[in-house]
Amino acid sequence: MRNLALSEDILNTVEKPARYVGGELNTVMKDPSAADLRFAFCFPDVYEIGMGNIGLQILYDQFNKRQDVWCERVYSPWPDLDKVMREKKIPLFALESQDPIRDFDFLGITLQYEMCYSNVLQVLDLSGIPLLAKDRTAADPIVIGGGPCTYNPEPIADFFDLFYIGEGEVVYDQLFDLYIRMKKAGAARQDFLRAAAGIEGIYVPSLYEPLYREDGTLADFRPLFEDVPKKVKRVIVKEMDRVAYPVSPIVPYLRPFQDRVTLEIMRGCIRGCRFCQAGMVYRPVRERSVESLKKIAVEALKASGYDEISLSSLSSSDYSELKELVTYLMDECAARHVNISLPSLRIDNFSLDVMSKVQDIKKSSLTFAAEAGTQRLRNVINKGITEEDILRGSAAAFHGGWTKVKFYFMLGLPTETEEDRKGIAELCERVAELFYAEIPKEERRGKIQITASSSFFVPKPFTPFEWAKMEKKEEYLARAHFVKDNFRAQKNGRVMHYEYHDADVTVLEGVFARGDRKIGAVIRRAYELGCLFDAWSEQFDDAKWQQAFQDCGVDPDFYTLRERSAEELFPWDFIDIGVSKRFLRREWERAMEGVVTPNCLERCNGCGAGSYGCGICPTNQNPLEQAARGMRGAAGKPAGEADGSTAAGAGEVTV
Amino acid sequence: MIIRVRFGKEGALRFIGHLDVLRTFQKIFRRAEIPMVYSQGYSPHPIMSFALPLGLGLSSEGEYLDAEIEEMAVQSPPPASLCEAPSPASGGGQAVVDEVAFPFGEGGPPTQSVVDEVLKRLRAATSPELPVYAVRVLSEKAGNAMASVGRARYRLTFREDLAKPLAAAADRLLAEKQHIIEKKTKTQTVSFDLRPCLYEVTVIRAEGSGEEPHPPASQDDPLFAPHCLRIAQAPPPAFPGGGEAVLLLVLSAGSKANVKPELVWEELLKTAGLPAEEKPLAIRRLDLMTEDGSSLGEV
Repeated sequence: MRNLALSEDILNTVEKPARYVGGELNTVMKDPSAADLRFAFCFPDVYEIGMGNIGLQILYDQFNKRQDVWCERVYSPWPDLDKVMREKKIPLFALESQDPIRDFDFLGITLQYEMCYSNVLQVLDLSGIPLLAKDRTAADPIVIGGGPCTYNPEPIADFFDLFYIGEGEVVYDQLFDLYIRMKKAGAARQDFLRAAAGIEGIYVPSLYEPLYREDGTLADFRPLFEDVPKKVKRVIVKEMDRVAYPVSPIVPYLRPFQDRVTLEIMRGCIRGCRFCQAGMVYRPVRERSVESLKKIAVEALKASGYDEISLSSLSSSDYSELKELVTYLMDECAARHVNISLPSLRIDNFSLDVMSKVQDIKKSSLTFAAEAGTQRLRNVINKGITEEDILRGSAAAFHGGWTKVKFYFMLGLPTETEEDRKGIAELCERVAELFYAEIPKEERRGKIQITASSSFFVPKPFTPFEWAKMEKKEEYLARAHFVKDNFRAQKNGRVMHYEYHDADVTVLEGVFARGDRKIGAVIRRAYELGCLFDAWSEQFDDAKWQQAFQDCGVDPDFYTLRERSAEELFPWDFIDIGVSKRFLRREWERAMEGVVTPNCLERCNGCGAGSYGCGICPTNQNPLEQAARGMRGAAGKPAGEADGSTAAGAGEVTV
Repeated sequence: MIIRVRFGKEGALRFIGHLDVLRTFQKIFRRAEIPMVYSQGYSPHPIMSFALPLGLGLSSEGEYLDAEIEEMAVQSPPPASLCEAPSPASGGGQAVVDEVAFPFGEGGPPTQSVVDEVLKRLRAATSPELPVYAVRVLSEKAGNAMASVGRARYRLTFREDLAKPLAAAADRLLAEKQHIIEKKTKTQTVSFDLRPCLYEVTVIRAEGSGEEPHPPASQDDPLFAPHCLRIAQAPPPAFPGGGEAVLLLVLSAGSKANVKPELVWEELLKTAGLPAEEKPLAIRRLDLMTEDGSSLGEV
């Protein structure tokens, strides 16, 4: 039996001790002495959140297939245990072996959202690893970051030895081989980092130097040595079917955020919504074949025992063989008493038919990611959904028996006016009226319920809106209050519910998203002041963050309230994601003119992702396949998304 | 047919709550591809019930669940993915152990072969810290596990220097006619008599040294040692060693009166005049029994 790092006393007093004991089904145990490289994979949030991450499952599986590597997991200890560990000086440990993280070769931290940055410092601190990469010695693990936030790693560059830019399946083997070879040869830490910089996709922040102008903007960003590449190219999987998928996922005992098999059907998105970072940085679209997905689904269900499977992608309706896959899964799942969850489907006859079979209509709701209240603004953001699509989709759904409709909107989008804000409640009102017009009284099963929620828009690097300015917190709140009042004023206001996200967090996210290296000191100071679990609203303390900005002499407005010039050098410009800055700027200009850009299947817009030479990308396709896809692409316009998440979260596999 | 499964909780599993164990067993049955009977209704769930939740932090070798399963063909081997002996790298599976003779399942073939098959598959599908010891077919007239529970047997390990005062306290407690305890609930304080809930309170002190604490599981296969099935009838375990003593308890359990071993421990401390901060080193549930004292594994 394994020894546990925490004593009985501690485990008996902390909330949900199952978070810290490991031993779940399908976890991998190895003989530590037989592993040349021990990798601690960290998701810097609480266990239940982190366990649902498909990227973690993919890399855990991939790393552990190597005989010479043992990959284990670690999550952020919740504040109750955090306190105990500090008091009793218990070092942070990995779940599998329960060994201290400090004794590992690598600590890999997946960066899924900016609000986890204080937790990154907690993990380092509790592990006994110096917070700043420059203070680390041969005794410390190599700290490597991956995931969506690495598309601008600069705010946290001081804390990492390496960043992995791109999809995890590609160069980890190369990195591990290099490490094992150099470790056996007794090479110095610095020499390893220098050598690692030569691997495509690996960014070594200590080997670059930012130079700032007097106004605070970046003048230059350059490598310190000639053999260090000027640009770091994102690495991607060219053929999805050639990389393994975890058919024996770890099955947690403690109910995780995602208690199901996740089937990643494709990466990337053809749509090109201008606010969406995932839609740009995961280009081009690459699908897994339907045959391999069928096999993976059955194997994963068998090996995990889950009673639910969900399809994951940025836009599942765009998967070319969706019908065949879903039909197959419905048969398989019915036989096994397994449920299917289908996020982000376009509403058409097929999807409504499928949903009525797999979901309880009375309980489930239909979700439209409308994003903006007027057609004008939807054109600005290139969200290819029209009011007609929404009304048609809603009508079909009402006839199918649905009575719950959800809408997602964003406030603070570039060019937004009062008209656009009014449009939010008005659109919802028209959908409510449609219900009463379409469904005769005697056929109504319950009253209609409309829930609209808005988040505040945060401009992200590598999107056409990377030049955009944000608003002050007070302005965001004023806009949200205006929309809320509008909802009350509608005729059907009583069946509509409107809620909005926290504005403090939005502003901070804005700083982190497009911040530079000067932000690192602020994050460190905020952590010292006690900031932790900032993604949890009850833990988030904005006053401490404001204090940290003040203490460090950093003005957050510089990062949020400024519209950037076309010429400005951005902190993230040293990363080459395939999509060119020229294309993004062209899209920004088209946005300002309110002109829509067609999706990748309709027309190639020359974004630059074609340079990868793979995927569903008009620049690279063979003509026959191209023709087949072209026909399909022209046939359907998106008519909204049914039940499930919007474009967030799916997709990339990263540490 | 309804089967009864005896299982244990070890190591990390001690900190997994009852509902999570329940969900995990649903997954283990599906991993094992044992055809479950599902409830009717819009969201059908497998028909499965557990005898008695175990407190967080306690280990056990005497947990039971009842599950209704469909008739299954036993000739066909379980699916390849579950049959494969796990590589040393994988801690997820469990090597299928040799068949051992169980006192259960006397129905003879084909029932016996179904039981063997189910056991084999469950063992291959579970984790080492959630060991499955035995499977038997419940007779038509047998009550379900939850309703059958009347008593539970526990073993508390504690520091040897407490053995003497605690043994004396146990004698005094058992000599009482009644032992009224105030029990605080969320809204009120109720008093109840502990004495009739105590079937056995025995302190076993260390004598000599070097003897293994119970269970004296065989080193090569500690989880699946067949002795585990006979614990209910076995004589009290050998004297523990290493400065530890043992308290054996048989207490009322189940829906009528459920006494936690921690409560009895506290009463013994009180009776012995020992500080309330003293805690047992470990608490282990050894078995669950019916009202008349026979093991749930043998009903």
